[in-house]
Amino acid sequence: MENNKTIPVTILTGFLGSGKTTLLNRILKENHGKKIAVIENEFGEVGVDHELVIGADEEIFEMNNGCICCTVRGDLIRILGQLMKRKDKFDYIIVETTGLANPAPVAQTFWVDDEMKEQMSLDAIITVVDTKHVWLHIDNSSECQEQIAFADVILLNKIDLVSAGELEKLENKIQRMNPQAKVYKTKDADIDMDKILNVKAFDLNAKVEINPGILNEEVPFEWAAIYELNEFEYSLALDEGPDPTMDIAIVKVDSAEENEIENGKKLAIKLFSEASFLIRPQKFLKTNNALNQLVVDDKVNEYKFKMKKNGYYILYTQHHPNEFGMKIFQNENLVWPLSFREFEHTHEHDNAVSSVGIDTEGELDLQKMDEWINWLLQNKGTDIFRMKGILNIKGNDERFVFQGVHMLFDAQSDRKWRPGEKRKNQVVFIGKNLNREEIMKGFQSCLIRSKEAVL
Amino acid sequence: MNKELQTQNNQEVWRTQLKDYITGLSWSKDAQWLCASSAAGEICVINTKTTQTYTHAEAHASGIICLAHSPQENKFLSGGQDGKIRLWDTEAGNTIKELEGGSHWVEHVNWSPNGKYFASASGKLLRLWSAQGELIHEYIEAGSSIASLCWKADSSEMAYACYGGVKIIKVEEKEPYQTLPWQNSMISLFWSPDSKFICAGTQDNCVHVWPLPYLLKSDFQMSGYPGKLRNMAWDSEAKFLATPNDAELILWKFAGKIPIGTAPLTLSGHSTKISALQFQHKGKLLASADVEGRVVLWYPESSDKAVVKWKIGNELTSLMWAPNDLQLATGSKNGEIVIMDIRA
Repeated sequence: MENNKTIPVTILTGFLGSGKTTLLNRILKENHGKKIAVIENEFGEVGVDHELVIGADEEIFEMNNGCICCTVRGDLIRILGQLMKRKDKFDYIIVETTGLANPAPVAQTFWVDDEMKEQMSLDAIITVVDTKHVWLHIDNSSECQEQIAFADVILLNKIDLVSAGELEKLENKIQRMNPQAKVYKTKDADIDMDKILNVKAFDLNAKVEINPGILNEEVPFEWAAIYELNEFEYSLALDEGPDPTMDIAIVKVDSAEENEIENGKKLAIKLFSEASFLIRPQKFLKTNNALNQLVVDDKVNEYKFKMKKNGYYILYTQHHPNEFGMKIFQNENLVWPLSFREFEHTHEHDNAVSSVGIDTEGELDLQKMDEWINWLLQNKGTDIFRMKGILNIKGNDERFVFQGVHMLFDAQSDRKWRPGEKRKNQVVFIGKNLNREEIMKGFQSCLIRSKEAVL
Repeated sequence: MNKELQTQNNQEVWRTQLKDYITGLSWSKDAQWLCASSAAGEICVINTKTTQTYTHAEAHASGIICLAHSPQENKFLSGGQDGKIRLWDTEAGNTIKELEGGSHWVEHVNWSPNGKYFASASGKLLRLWSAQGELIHEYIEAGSSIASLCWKADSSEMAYACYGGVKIIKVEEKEPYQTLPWQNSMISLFWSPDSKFICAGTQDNCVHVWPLPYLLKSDFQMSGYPGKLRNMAWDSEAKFLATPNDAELILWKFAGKIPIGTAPLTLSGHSTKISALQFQHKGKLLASADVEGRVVLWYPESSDKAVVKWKIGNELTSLMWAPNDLQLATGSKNGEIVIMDIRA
């Protein structure tokens, strides 16, 4: 897909009213010397004033084998096939999809159709998001989620209509859904052209990068704090909150260093997966590495706990304590944590779009990796929207890079590992219903165990 | 035999140049006239007796997609990206009528073999016209854009291909009477001259065939081709269906029967991808053209060796036998048209 002679194609997605047409007009205006063909599937309120706009009915064709990756856009094949006959070809092609389109068939058209592939190459999928109104769709519209999940570039548009806090909340959510996309904040879709055109997001010969910010794993708690506690009795007060119960685990650690929160996390995750002790108001919490489920049934609730030993303890809480106005007292004096950390929400629906990131050292067995990826794509390809990775293959001095859409993928050797460079495997999967644990286990089974590596 | 001839020899009778990709070539019944269209929107008509030509530089505002000369009278049709159909007087060189094909590009115009009607397709819209250009019927919109269109040899029916199958319409009726189902996207359609088979090239590189009259699940397909089959050719007796398989031709033996279980003929003689092919209208010669500008003639009934090879020029995109079977016209990607005499 990386022939220099091929014409780049950008796919523009986003809900009606997100600012797609504004962006399109901006692209045409700022590149007026270039011959840009625009295929439009939807005529918005604002018209596009350009001679090479071709209206088309979106026609999604499945092939007989029923495989989702063979779903293509028949209208694009016909129209672009004709346009490509012209000698004075285009410099650029932009395909604007309808607001409710799934971008996969568009992307796959340039992947599975040989005639398309010969002459054109997919540059990037750009999704324009209306930062104010996206909240109406982001949790319940699969199209909205798909458009975000498939994107290489996301424009958070109309930022002038939302507060900084709202914008940050959206950014965090989008980052979790698609950590690979480059996210830009815009007003009136105002953006530098080089950030959206000729991005080469599908080109393995371009510099392949994996965003390491993908590794925020989901945890069953939202907050953790280190306290210095002693053998005296404490009371913990909770106001009424969004949930009739609140889970809290107390874990003993060695110091007040902040990284202890990270160190204790594994144990806390284990505790949160186990049975909890139901604790009603005025009762004592279990402090010996156990999970307490506090019953929050009054306007004001107070519980007690007592440590067996002086030292540092971490409280991992299911909800953010602010939601319950949580306070800890000792003899009516407030006790403050020495440090604390917030974790991401896990309130996603089961079928929601998410990402699984892998970032690990070690050498991979190419054959095992190949078998595992094949298995994964055959069994989960429908749910995996995009994937991208840099791999350290045993016996190969070059990075091995791959990327894909559903079950279609490209893979090849990349540049040499540099002297002193950490040979890491970095992979990201974006999709729905992703089973993090299964993917992690599958990947780890492809790593060569250190004993074998020595041999 | 098998000797490669250069085009300077006396077989080449005419050569002319348009500005862009030749999108259509079509002969008049008496083979006196050849008309051609280009992706730049030009129409060119060549009088092969006097060698005079006339050219319209912008016959359609944007490119021309399809072109068809009447099989009976001296007039022809062009369909363009402007959504218009033009009916031309071949001899006078002017437009007789301009017709509305629909709101999309006009991608197909096809005459009935008896020359009484023509059908046009624009997006999902199929229209039937009289030879004079009067609208006879507009059919209900097809489920998806019409990808290909063809007529039955006796002009009583036509068939169109779209996503999910082929529909057959009797000329005097207003809607299709039969669907030949196939869950795929058909890109080309050919009705055998004996009317016993309809075959289509599919999006996933197969030839799908429905025997007629069609019984459910009696259809079959030939797969394994390296690319999509936009071009195929039946010989006049429907003995062979010729299909391009990269640089080879695969000829399935039909003669009224299903070719399952029979080995096809393979003709090797090109050294690069075959882009166009056609059998003579009545004779038995098959002509094929490739992307390096070679034309090869075959006589598949008696030999799998090439009869003759010519180097015509550059990448060929179309090839048409004149109705008298004596002349052969080719069109190329860069707009060159060559006419050859095949009397030798």
